[in-house]
Amino acid sequence: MEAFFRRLMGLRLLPAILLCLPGIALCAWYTSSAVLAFKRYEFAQKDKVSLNTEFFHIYLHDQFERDIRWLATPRYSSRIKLSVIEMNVSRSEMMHFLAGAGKETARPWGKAKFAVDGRTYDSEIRIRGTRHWHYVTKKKSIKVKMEEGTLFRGNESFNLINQSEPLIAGQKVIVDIAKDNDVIVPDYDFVRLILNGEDLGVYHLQAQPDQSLFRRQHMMPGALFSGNPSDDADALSLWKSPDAWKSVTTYREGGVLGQAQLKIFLDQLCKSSFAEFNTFAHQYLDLPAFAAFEALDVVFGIEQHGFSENQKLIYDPFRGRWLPVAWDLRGFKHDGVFNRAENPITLRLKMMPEYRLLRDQAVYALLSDDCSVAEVKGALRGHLRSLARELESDRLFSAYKLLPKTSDFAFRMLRPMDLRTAALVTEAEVLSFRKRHSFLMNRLRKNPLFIDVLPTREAASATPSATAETAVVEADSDTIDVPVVVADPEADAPAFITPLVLLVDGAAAAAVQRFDVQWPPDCAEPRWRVEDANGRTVTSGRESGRLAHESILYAGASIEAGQGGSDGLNTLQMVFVPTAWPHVLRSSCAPAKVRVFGRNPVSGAAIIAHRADPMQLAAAEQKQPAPDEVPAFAPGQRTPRPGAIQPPTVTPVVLGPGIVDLPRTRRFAAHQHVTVQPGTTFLMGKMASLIFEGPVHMAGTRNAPVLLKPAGSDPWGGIAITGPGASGSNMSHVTAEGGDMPQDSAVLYPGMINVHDASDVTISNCVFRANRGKGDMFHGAYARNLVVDQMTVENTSLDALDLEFCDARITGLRLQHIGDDGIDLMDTRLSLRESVIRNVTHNGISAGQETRLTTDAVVVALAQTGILAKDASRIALLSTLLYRNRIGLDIEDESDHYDGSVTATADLLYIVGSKTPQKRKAQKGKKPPALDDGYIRYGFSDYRTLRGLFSDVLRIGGPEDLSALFPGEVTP
Amino acid sequence: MKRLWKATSTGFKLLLLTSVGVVAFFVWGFRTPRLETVWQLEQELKTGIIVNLKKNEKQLFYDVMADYPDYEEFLAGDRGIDILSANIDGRSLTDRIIVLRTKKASSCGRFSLDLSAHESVFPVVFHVQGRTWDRDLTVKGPGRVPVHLPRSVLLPEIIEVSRPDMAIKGEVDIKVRFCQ
Repeated sequence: MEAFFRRLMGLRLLPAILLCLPGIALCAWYTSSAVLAFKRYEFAQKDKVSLNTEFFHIYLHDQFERDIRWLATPRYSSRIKLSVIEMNVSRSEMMHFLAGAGKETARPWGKAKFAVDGRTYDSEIRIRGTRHWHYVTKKKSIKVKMEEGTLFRGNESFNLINQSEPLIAGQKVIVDIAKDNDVIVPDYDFVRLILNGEDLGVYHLQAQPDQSLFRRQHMMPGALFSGNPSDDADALSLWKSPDAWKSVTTYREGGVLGQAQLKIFLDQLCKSSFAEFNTFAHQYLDLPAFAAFEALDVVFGIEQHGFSENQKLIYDPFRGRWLPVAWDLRGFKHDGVFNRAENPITLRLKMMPEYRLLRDQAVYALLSDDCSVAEVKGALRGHLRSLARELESDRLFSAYKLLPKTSDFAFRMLRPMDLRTAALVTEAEVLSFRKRHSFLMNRLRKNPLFIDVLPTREAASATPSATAETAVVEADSDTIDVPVVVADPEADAPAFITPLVLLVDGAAAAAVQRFDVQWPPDCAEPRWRVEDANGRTVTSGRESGRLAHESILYAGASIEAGQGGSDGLNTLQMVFVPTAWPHVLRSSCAPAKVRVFGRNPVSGAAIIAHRADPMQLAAAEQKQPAPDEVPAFAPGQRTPRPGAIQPPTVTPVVLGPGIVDLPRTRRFAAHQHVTVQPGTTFLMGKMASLIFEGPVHMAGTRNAPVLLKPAGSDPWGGIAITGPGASGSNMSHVTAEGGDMPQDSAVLYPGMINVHDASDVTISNCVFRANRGKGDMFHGAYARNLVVDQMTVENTSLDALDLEFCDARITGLRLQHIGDDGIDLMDTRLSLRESVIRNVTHNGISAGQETRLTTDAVVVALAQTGILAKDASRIALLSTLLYRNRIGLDIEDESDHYDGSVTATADLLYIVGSKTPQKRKAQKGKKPPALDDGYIRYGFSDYRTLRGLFSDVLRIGGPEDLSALFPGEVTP
Repeated sequence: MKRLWKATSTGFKLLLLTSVGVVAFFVWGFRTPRLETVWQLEQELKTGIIVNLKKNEKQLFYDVMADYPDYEEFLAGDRGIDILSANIDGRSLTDRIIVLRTKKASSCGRFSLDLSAHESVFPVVFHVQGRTWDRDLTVKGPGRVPVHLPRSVLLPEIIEVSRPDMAIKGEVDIKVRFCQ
């Protein structure tokens, strides 16, 4: 040992250098790695920052940590629960892919194959995102475009995002809540990616908003617009022209219509008056959908939907309405303002008092339920727990915002992340959310109702009477001395006037329910009433001060400049301003006390009016613009006085009886309630239509039906019962023929008779025949609880009935000589009973796209295919006869557009006289769909179970009469 | 020792120094960066996981704030004085309150504690400690209690408000209001 040390101490220079080299090389290696990593980040941030000791230490430390993790972290195992995407990219394609790193635009695509759950897909990939965390490290964010005609999870394209927010599950929680509250949001989930055999760990899969969104949302194909202003454009540029919007259109006619409507929408946002926008919004915007979307932004403090970013809109051409698409839902922020970002849509909507209330009610509902602190906390912790194993084995798990906010550069540095830190961040964000929740709840629960009681005066005189004594008028806990005049005991009618000013401040609205007036002891049997500013009595002593219907009084609003931010528009805020609602108390005695009781219409809490202070009253006096003025997106812009824009009053309209000439299209707005008298005949001009946006009652009778026919040789248009305002409409004993389709600039009507987006519509004892043009006879879209009882349809161009996203019950349907399908169903729930469908060119009934169909006592005869079921539909056939169709029952399970398979059950199904009684097709590699054979017969050896069908539905003695009833064969 | 050193060869000296250097490099590299420590402390205070700061931890905050004035501004907010410990709108979620006061709030002469608790809990003694000063506050009943801040002190400073007598049963709800 001694000798060894002696030799060591005498070590010569050259061997010493050789012995030092590994250590030096290791230090040099780590130093250069750290410096390079820093430089890459600096370059990506486009920031010139010098590498000081502090930053060098951080980068060095992180390199050590990553290497230790690489060695110590176990490989992912098959016990992992996340979906695993195994992607393979050739070297040359990878070069294309990587060439996109750091590029703002024109990132090249590379070909890739990936496999999930044993199935392989072809696709193209490119780098996704321009922020450094998307491309600086090995774990790059990827945009995947599927090969044409194939879908993954129902999506044509999707993103695999290295979402480096330290709150891992934040966006997932918000997306789940959005879905539960019917906000349109693309597919979002956690997956694991293995690229060319290398495990890249956990990714966020986020579908791109494209046409697959319509399918996922159970919507008709429409027009999707994405707002993409150029980086150097000003904040308003997106809203001035449709050119700044990219269109993703699925349906040609819908796209054309949508493009035209986008221009109208943008014009309305920027150029219309208050009143004009009010009318437009009620007709063309899905206000509850916009309120729900904005409520999410408010609850979670999301600021990603400002003037210039992340704007995505859908135009549904079958409802004629705009809806928002929720995209980029990074939230969990709080800074003491309600809306952390506004845009022209939210500002213009909040210029409508009823929308402000709707929005606040949506916020409150979320805060009380899905977005309570307990729910959100539970969801965040739950996701972290379920991801724990995956994250533990993710060697590339990293995040930013893991350093103090010493500078933006440091704050955004990507650093290795672990579960302990993730848990710490989760708890910190839960606390931030608690603060925001508390802030919002306090604002929404405020009592917004105030009162100012002016001196009482005699009714006949213009000036207040001299004070003889004072009375105490109580407003909540405050007391006000009111100079009064002693009542004249001989006075008959109300002799005193007490002006009352109700003031709403600090919230969207207050609901007034009761006036409580107390009288001095010498006032016996006082008579009194309260009138509003229009002189209308709202309540009186006879009603004990209760209003027959609570009166909603709104606050006004004004745009204010917010704080911070370099772009003025993006800091604008809409705030409430006090609004006065003058009332008058007319009484036979001077009142002693006046109190007003009501309800906070947002929280539902009971409220009593507080005493108004002079500042509130002065603020309420400020000048308000007129409804015909055009507002600006600028601080100080106030809204008109609530109530200045009145909805139109309900107007009854009666048509007929007798001949009614309609040379042009007649449109009836939602406030027009139409009755068509029995015995009315409409002579319709060329392409003239009847469009009902309010309820219509076509009250034909058996002896005096309502008729619609062309006035001359040209086809007329059609009938549309459209929109929620038309709910409850009915058509009884109506015969219509020779029509085409209504032509409308805002809505597509593909049928001669159309029921769109209305509920509880009843069609009974109607006959529709011989439509012309290339449309269906009867088209239903988003019709809820549609009831059809005894309807005959014959000689049609295309489908007899085309129902999409409807929920319907049909009894007594008779279809014959149909140009395409008898009944074409898309994502519809239909119960069909006691019906006969015959002589149909294609399918007697086509049940597609997740339809739910039940048939009972139904006959389909002489069609190419009796019943076709496809696209994950479920059909239950009871007492059903398929007679002399080329194919009796066809079940196709080929589509990968929908999750799940076709389910078909048959109980008392007869398939007789078909060339091919049953046909079943499935995707390659999949088993053909099963038909749950309950009781299927291919002949009439035992037809006892069909006796009711023969006698009651077909009105024949038995199967021997069928061939006479349904002669011939289907022509191929 | 000197003789021993002189007796060693150049090669040995080189090997020794390089080894020490390499070890020091790795030891330093493995040490948690101070910014990371400060960030963790900030989050742990914010969530109530920790309720007080050791002397060296406070010094770490002071050093980082001295090197990064933006961070001082971020922590203390617009007023220049704010609570670092767990709270919701000033209502403390922990028994010990940590406040940061900076130069921006030098004219803010005091903050108040709004106390609410059952009367049986009182009197309560609070110990208030700044960077270079401390005092005890005896509170006899619920209500607002001002905490006067000395003017000429070294800023920024971390002020701790604690209750040394932790034998008090029941809860004292404390809301902090600044400059009132």
